[in-house]
Amino acid sequence: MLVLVAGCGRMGRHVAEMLFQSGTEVIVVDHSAEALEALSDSFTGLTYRGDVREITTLEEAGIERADVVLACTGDENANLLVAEVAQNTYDVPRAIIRALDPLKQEVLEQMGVESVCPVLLGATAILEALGLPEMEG
Amino acid sequence: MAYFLTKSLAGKGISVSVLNEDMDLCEAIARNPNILTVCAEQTDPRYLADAGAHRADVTVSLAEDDAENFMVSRLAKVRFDCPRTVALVHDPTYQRIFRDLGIDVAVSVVDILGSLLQEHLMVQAITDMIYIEDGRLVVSEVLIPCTSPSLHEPLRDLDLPQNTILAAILRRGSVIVPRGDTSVEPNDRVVLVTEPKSHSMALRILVGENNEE
Repeated sequence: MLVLVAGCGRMGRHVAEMLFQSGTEVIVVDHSAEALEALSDSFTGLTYRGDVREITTLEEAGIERADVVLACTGDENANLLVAEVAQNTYDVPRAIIRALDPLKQEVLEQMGVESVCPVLLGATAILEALGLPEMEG
Repeated sequence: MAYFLTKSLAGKGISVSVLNEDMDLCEAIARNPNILTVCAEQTDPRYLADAGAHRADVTVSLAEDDAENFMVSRLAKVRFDCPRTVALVHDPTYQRIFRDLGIDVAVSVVDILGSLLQEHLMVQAITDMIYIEDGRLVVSEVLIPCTSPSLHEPLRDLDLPQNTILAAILRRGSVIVPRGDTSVEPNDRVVLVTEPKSHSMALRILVGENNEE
């Protein structure tokens, strides 16, 4: 399985490293050389430098070979665009995006886009740690 | 662009609302009491609702960022059932992709400006030109110079590119609908309908390479 990780901030980096450690083939794409260098030394997967919002970057990184695309940049709009392009233009079987705003998750779902919202997950975990019931929405 | 577009649309009696983060821009637009102006993040569904996205017949997204325009157009479709979405595209490769992804009209500024400039620099013979269907079709009015390589040749013998037609010839005040045996004469103005990619070739045939004089 090949996973393309778009965005190598804290989230993209951790996901990429964890996937790599589990033996998954990974390619990480980010426009910042610094961000790519921040990957741990034990990560020897592929990296590609370029703006993920540009189709040519995704193409050159080999998006059409990817089985999964994870759009993890800090820009929700870019994440949506990457996921939609992956699934519709390059027939990538699965794309998951990082949602920044919990309020957007519902509408992303309506769009048929699979998303994970770290803020919501964090808040839920804190409530759980405090033994408080989870709130709806 | 947003400022002048809203002004122009409102001037035509179209009901316009604006959602923009830029306070200065919003203040300038809001001077027109007929325009509902909401100063807030463009991609937030709540503010889109405040700006009347539920009632909009058309949503136009004009941000500098393609991804942002994509998000706004998708929200308009999915969340607000907007019948028609128009998005500005900066990276021309997105034009086709945006359409494939359900955005009704994707306008590529670079493509339109680029071909406009190219034509303008190359051929001063073009006297008028319009783009139709997001720039997929171009209609131009072209002056035939006395140096044209196609003078007195029946149109059917000209090697005009595919998907190109000469729709009309304007000659000394009268309009001629050309047929295969019609030919062009110096000082004719012809109405050319073609695809942008064939435009330059059609012009070379009708006008010639060197048309500076």
